[in-house]
Amino acid sequence: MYAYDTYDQTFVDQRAAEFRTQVARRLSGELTEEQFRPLRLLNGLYLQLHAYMLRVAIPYGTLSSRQLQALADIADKYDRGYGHFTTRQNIQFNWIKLEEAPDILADLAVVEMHAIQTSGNVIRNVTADHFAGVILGEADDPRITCEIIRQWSTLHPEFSFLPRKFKIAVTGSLVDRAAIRFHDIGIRIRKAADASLVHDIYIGGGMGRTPFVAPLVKANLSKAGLLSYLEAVLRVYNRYGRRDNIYKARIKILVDALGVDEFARQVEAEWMHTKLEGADLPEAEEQRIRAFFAGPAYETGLPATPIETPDLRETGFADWCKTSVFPHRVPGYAVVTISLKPIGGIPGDATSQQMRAIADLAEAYSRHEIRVTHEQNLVLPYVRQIDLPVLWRKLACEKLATANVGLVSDIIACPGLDYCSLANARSIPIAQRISERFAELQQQHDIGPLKIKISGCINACGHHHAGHIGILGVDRKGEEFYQIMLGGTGDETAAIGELVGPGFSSNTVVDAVETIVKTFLDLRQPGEVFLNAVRRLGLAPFKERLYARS
Amino acid sequence: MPALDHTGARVTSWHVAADGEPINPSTPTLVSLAHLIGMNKAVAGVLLESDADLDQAGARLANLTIAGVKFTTFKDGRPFSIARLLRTRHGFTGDLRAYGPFIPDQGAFLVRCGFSSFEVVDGFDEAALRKNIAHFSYNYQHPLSVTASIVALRQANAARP
Repeated sequence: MYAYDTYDQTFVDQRAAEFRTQVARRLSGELTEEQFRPLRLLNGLYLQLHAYMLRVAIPYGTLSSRQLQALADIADKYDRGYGHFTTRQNIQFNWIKLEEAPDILADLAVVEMHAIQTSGNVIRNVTADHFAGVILGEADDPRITCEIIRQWSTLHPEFSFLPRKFKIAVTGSLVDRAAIRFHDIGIRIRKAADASLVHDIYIGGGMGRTPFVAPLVKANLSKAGLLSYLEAVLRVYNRYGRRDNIYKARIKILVDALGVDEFARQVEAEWMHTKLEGADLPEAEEQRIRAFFAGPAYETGLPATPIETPDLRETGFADWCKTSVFPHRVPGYAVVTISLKPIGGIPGDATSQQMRAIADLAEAYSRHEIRVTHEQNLVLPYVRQIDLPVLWRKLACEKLATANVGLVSDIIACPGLDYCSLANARSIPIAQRISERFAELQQQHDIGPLKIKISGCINACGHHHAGHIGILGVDRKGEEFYQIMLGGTGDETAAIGELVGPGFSSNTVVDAVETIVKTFLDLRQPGEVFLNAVRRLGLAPFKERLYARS
Repeated sequence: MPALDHTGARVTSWHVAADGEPINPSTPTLVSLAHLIGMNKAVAGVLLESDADLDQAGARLANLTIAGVKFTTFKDGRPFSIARLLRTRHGFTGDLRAYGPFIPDQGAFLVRCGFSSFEVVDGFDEAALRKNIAHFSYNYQHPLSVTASIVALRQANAARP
């Protein structure tokens, strides 16, 4: 993974020092909360319902064991012993004291981490396919592009006061695990016919109150022209994006208002200039960054299957292998997803003890590396297949071996009204109750792949538009209500879910989900997964069952 | 109202002329973009709104010795782009001044986009501005200001024997 040089380190140290003086100015009363707000937001510090929340950047979701240890230490030292992994591959600490925030940034800087641009109207942490570099059929490791964009966008002088936040995701695969078309910019790296690497640039996707699947704006962009092209996109957006209404300020609204062709034309015209202005990375610097992502030296001649004993089969090892273990591009290795969705648990939460355990396991079995998925799980990317049984046993000891990845209880949920000052309804308890309703693991495996995503308000941090079953919490005359959408997906067949009908109370929403799943089980064809069934059947049979009695 | 240069030192405020007001050639004066376009005579400077269409002014911007760009609020990021465009595309090499309610903590961003001075209100935290401008030793982006970019420094180091 990428390692800081003296420039990166100095920069992050100075950023932490700067924030310390800003906090001191706030604590002394020199700055009002109104004056301090934009400064703290540029360092990922939010004022939430009950306390300050610090969002720490995990660039493209890649962590070392040492970094995860440091996050565990922060959870114990400054918070209540846990952290929450987010849908943008970051981690949030929910119970932060303002006066301690500078110490946290200083602790993070020691392990080459920061909270820069995890909030505010800026280019946010760039996200990537969590299987980057280890999955079969990838054109390029997207994290190379992500790191290049990370450095280019860090405290960019021109683009730090955009009309609204700006999110970029990158994949190097045709299978989309990064939901690129739901981002302000989604980048797919491909190999062109001549084997050179090119980028397809999708612009203007997003969720929120006006969801869009991003259109392809620029195909076959050469990697040498990436940064100048991004400068052109950002400049057009910075100058012409709406600033009069925060709900219409994302780039998706500009792309939609201008039309894709006119937007593309304006960017192209700007790019003719920015190309000449020196933003593009010299080849040698690209190579320097690329070298960090070469991956470990793999062992050769490893046996290709885990050694299964009858004992392991009886206790669920096979189930866990089915959901948590993914093929690796190198024979004899596997990619392991660790579910942070225990039945009845809070999606994405990990205790400091669990973080330390995972850091240790990564050290022993995954070359010190961990990934964070946008689905709020963790990944060990370099596991030898022969180590799978012992890894599984050790994960199970920490309650981290739930065999539900990709199944009905592997739910994405935003923090909701339990923490967030924007929320209209609670998300976490709904996720917990759904997962308890479907607690029986064999039933979950029978239902098959099903993604439930829950947001506590229209801002859609829980990605409800992209859920096979999407749930949106709304406030109806002071009472929490939940709307249900079906058929959304964030993968390479990206689609926005369709509203099934009137909302459900918090007492009836879990029953409604169960009715939807039962309807699917009754009507599915052999081998058919939930999303395909919804696409084949449409909403009608689900509506019929859901609203039959009323 | 005081004005500060890019080191934070006090400098003279410029006169901002109302449209149609007679211009005194011995006083540094800014006029509106519409006024500039409509004028036949040479003028020292222009004060641009953050939504200004620079292409309207054609080649005239390159001949100006002073210019200002006005923030509507500190969150209004457009002046940063306008400054970059004035410097890189419209050939403006004179003194470029920020106007409006920008905040001291934007100082380095302003300088790095090509601003060279600031018109500030009484009570503006000048010390914080100076500190902000001088704070970082390095930046990632290719610069318009004095500090070398990290990319350039890495290139230079790699080229050393």
